[in-house]
Formats: sequence, C-alpha cells, structure tokens
Amino acid sequence: MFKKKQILIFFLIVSLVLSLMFAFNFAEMNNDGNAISLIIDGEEIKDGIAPVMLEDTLYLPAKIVCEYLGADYEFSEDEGKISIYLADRIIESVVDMPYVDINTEIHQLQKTPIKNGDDIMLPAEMVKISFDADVSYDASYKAANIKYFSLMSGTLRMGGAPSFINIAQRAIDKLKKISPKFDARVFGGGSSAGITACQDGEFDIANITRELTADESYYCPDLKSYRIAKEGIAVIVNKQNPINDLNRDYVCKIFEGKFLSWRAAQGKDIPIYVNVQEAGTGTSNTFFDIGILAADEFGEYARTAMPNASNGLVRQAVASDPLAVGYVTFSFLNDSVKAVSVGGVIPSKQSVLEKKWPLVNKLYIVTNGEAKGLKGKYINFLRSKMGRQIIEEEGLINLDVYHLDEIES
Amino acid sequence: MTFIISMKLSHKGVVNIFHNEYILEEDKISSLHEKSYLSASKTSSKKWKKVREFCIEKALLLVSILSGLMILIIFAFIAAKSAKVFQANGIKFATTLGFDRQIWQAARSVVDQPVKNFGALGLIIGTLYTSLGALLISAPIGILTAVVITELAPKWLRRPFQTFIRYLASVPSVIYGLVGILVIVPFIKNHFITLEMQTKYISYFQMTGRSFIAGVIVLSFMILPIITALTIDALKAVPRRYKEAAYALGFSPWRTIVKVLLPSAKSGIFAGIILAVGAAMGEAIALSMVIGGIPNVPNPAMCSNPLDSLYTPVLTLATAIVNKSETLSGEYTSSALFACGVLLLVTCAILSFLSKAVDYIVKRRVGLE
Repeated sequence: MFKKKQILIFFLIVSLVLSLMFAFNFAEMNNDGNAISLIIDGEEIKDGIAPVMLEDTLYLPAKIVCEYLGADYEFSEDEGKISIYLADRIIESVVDMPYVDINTEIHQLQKTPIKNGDDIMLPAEMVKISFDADVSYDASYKAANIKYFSLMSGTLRMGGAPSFINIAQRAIDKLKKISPKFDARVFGGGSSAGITACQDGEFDIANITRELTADESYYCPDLKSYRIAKEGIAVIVNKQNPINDLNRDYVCKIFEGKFLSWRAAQGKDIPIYVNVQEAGTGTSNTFFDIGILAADEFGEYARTAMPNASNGLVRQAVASDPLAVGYVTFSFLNDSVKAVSVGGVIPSKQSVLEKKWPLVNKLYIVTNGEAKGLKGKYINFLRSKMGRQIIEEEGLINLDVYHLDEIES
Repeated sequence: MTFIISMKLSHKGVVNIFHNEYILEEDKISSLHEKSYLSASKTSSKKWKKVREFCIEKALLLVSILSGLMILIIFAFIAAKSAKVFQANGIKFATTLGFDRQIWQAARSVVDQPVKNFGALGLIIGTLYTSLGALLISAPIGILTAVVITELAPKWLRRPFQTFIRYLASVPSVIYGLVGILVIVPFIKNHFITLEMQTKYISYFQMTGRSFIAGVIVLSFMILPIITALTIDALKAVPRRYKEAAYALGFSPWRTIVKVLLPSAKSGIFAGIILAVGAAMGEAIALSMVIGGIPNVPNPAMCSNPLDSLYTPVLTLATAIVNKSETLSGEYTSSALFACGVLLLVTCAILSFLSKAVDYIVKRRVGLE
C-alpha cells in the first residue's frame, strides 16, 4: 500500500516537470515570433541580423555570415557591389543582379542578393555555391542552418614559430570539437624551420612571425603567405632601472651599442647590457627592421649583444640583471620586467590598435601553393569570430582587414 | 672506417660465440638422442638448427653492414651540404673570425648578393679552450678519484662509490645545463663580477656570468665520470703481481700507486682522457645554455687583470649549430652550419683514432702485449 503511494507521488512529480518543460518550450517559441534563428556550425548566432524568408527563398545576412566564416566583407553603396574575400576565394556580386563571380568564374543564380532595409541579404543558394558551405532550412524549428567548418575532414600538419603554438593548438581543439573528422598536429621549431618543412612537404602549413624574406620567395615562388594577426614588440628593462621612456633614436643607439652607459639615455651611470634574439628568429628580424634600420640605414646590432634563443630567455635575462635591456613580444610581458614607453607611447594593445606603437610584428600562415580546401578553411577559421576570440585571448591583436596590407604608422 | 672494421671484428666474435654454444648444445642433444629418440627425428632437428644458424649469421652480417653504411651516408650527406661554403672560403673558413656577424648578415642578405664568407676560427678556438680547460680541471680529479676508489677507500665503500660515478655518466646533458644556468652562472655573477669590472670591459664584452669559465665548469662536471670510470677499469686491469712485487720491495702504498700502478695503467687513462675530450667537444645543449653565444677569443693580454678574460662569452662549434639553427632555411647559412659539423666530425674522428693509437703505442712500450 505504502509502495503504491510512493510510486504515485513519483509519477506526479515527473509529469509536472515534463509539462513545465513543454510549457517553457512553447513560451520560447512564441517569444521568437516570426524571426528565423541562424545556426552556424551548431552554434546559434543571437546577436545581429536575423535571416528572412521572402517568396519561399531563404536570405542570409551577408555581414554576419562573413564575420562567422572568416571573410573580409565589403559593400560599396554607390555601385551596390558586394565583395567577399576568403583565404581561398574572392566572391563578388552586385545587388539585384542574378550572378556571382567566384575567383573570376561567373555562376548564374536563381535569386539575386537583395537589400533589406540597411542590410544586405544573400540568398541561401548563393551562400551555398560561393562559400562551398551546406545551407539548410528547418521549417518546424524556423532555423537556418549553415555548416561550414563542421564539413572539414582530413588531417593537417603544421609548425613554425613557438609563439604561434598556443593559438594553433586552441584553434585545432575547437575545430576538432566542431568537426570530428578533422585532425591536426602542431609543432614548434621556429619560423624558418617551419618554412623549410613546408617547402619539403613535411608540413601543410607553416606558422611564422615575420614576413617571407626575399630569399625564400625567390627560391620558392609557390609559397603564399596569409595575414593572421599582429603583435607589438616591447623594449624591456630591469625593474631597478629608473628609465621609463626612450625615444626611437635612443632605442636604435642602445641596441646598436653606441650608447655604452645608461647615462646617455638619461639614466644612472651604469653600463648597458644589450640582449637580442638569435639570428633567424622572427622577432629579431622585425625588431632590426623597425627598431634599427628605420632610424639608421647602416645600423647593426651591438657587437657585444648577448644573443638569446627565445622571448622567454630574453625576459629571464633582463629580469635577473639590473643593467640589461632587451625586447620581447607583448604576450611575454609580465611583472618581472618593466616595459618602457617609446617616444611617449605606452606599450599596450590600445596603442597598437591606434597605430601609434612603432614596433609591430606580424603573424602569417604560409602554404606551399594556394591555400585550398582544408588549409583554406583552417585559415578562414583563424580569421572567423571564434578564431579572432582565441587570438585575442592569447594576447595578440587581430587585424581589421586581411586581404589588404595595412599601412603601418 | 675504423668503426666499420671494429664492427666487422665484433660481428665475427659474435658469430663465434654463437657457433660454440651451438656445438655445445648439439652435443647435449645428440647424447639425449642416443638414449631415447629415433635417428630420423635427429637428422631433421639438426637440419633445422643449421638453417637457423645460417639465418642468424646472415641477419647479423646485414645489420652490421647497414650500420656501417649509415655512418658513410651521414658523412657523405654532411660533406655535400657543406660543399658550398668550403668552395667559397677554402681554408679561410678555419682561419678567419666573425662567425656570428656573418651568419646574421647571410640570414638577412638578398638573393642577388648572397653572403658567402664565413670564418669559424672563433668557434674552433672556443671549442679547444673549453674542452682543454675542462680537461685541466677534471683529469686530475678524475684520476685521483679512481685511485681512491680502487686502492684507498674501505672495501665496503668501493662498490657504491663506483655505481655512483657510473650513474653520473648517464645523467642527460641538459640537466647539467640547467644546473649551470641556475647555479653556476648566478654564482659567478654574484661572487666574482663587480660593477667596476662590468664598466671597464663594456666596449669589449658583457660580463653576465654566461662565460667561458661557466662552460668549462659545466663541461668538467660532465666529463669527470668518463675519465673516472675508464681510469678505474685501467687500474683494475693492472696485474696483481705488480702491486705485490712493489710491496715486497718495501714501497709505501702511495709510492706503489704513483710509481707502479698509474704508469702501468697509462694507456687506459690516456684513452679515457681522449674520449672525454671528444665528448667535451661534441657537447652542445648544456654548453649553449651557459657560455654566452658570441664567438669571442678570450685574450688575457687585453685585460688589465688576465683572469678577467675568463668571463668572456664564447661559442663552440657544436653550440653554434644549436644556437644558429633558426637560420637553417637559408642556402649559405645552412651550408656554414654543416661546415661546422664537418670540422667537428673530423676532429672527433681524429681523436678516436688517436685514442686507439695511444692505447696501442703505450701498451707496446710497457710490454703488456
């Protein structure tokens, strides 16, 4: 008798919970009203413009789609021209014209891109053809479903600059979660080693922290580089050093070895110990170009400068020596050293974004030949909203546009 | 080549051992057979054994040929890779200075005007100085330790002592490097280098503690177990009757060691020392962490206190290959690094040949063989 009662109570509770769940579900669906939700790679996009359904055709917001699939999006009001730049393709189309131009190849469309209020909307068919994505519409849930990164399948091997490893590893982890068929391994070894391995076909992708040298692009014209992010390089001194600001001329002279004492740079009368990074590292090359050659055409690193193998070792050397000066990328700054301002500009992400900070290093991805298929999609992922978030969290700075070379101050 | 010959010899030895065992076993089996088995099964088992022996013999031969070939291929590969720099520089590669500057320029040079000139004299001198310096410290200590272990220490202590020394030899080199950078370099900097010294030599070199002397200390730790272990072996190989004869003549224990034991173990000790020098020259990782990485030549004449030249940062051939490996993608830079490899290989080959020669000559003079 007692048992029966127990079962009854249990049944009652379960039915209550179930009915509540259904009620909430219906409430939610009613709240949405007629808006169609946009789902990209299994994740619902809530911010921004919703897709619309006009005359039985699904239209997707161009800006949002480009942002989440990692494309540069441009729209010129006067001509009504839509330009979309992906790593592996350039897509061009004009509002109210039934064609799309993919890598200078013209495809006919059933429906035209339209202007809905202020927003440019692309027909589902055009997104499907031009991005090579999977677009479907679920009428019962009122959801537009785009599959792009979740279609990735295959394996990639990549390697190069050690400071790139964290970003690459996190991007790979994320991609593996989205698409179970995708797999990739990331190795270190330095920018130059990565490029060599990429030439030999050992790596599909080289991650580098400098531009391709003239030598490399001459001997291997197939190498293509793709912009990913940038990072600032800071000049660091020991915490006991009273110096807080150096102008660019001082920076150049210190690293050239022309200043032997900190007094020359308005500091204490103690010798300057210069720490540089080994020949061939990205940071070393970039710093030499921007920090020294820009100020002194025939400049060279000081003859007595102590070479270090990596950013971390430079920081360690500067932290342990009151005389030392060195340079590291922003992500290596911490409390153990002091980053000086250069010409009054504070080394921060903000000043890089405002293009005031003079010492900026760029991160590239290099492939042997055009990045197509899996490689192209991987690059697009790093440029997509998710990839940009990873890059931001790792302390680097995202670019505004990828297909054009930004003019640095 | 010496390697291949020794491989062949050892291969013959191995086969002989196999053969003897086989004969012994066969005798046993045949005696068993006579007791209980039919003659038919006996012949088949014999045949099977023969086939097996043939297979093992050929497999061993193949393996030894392969490992010999491997060495040849490595030699050929490194020689081919370094050919460009040797063509452009010739003997100048070993007689001029300025390797780090040249590598830096070559890594940044444009295609039309490649930098082809390299001079590794600084590296060669760095290599010689560090390994000889390490030898000066560790050879006396190592030999004396060996004497203590084999002759002077109480019997119950000898075996643990010896195990300990052998264990030291198996410590990975990067551990020594870590100890060097975390203990020795700060120690030198805090106790021996003053601000006046740093100010005085600022235009000549930076005194950060990462220096020639730090490299020497780390290296001497590393080669100490090699010298000690080989000296122990050499001392143990001295016939017991020598010692007994010396005691019978009324020699004191110390005199016995200095006048009898050490001279008769001379060949083994020399071989150990030369092996240790070879190891010191080829050491890269541990050294690259502590020696500073600039191919300076320590020059006591340029310092007001000659001892200050010990704090010069230097670079050796092996550490240059490690430190400058970022430039391996360049055509001439990689060739220059391989040329450093050639110099190292040649010196190490000469040293290993020398150790064999010393062993032979000394043994013949002493009359052990």
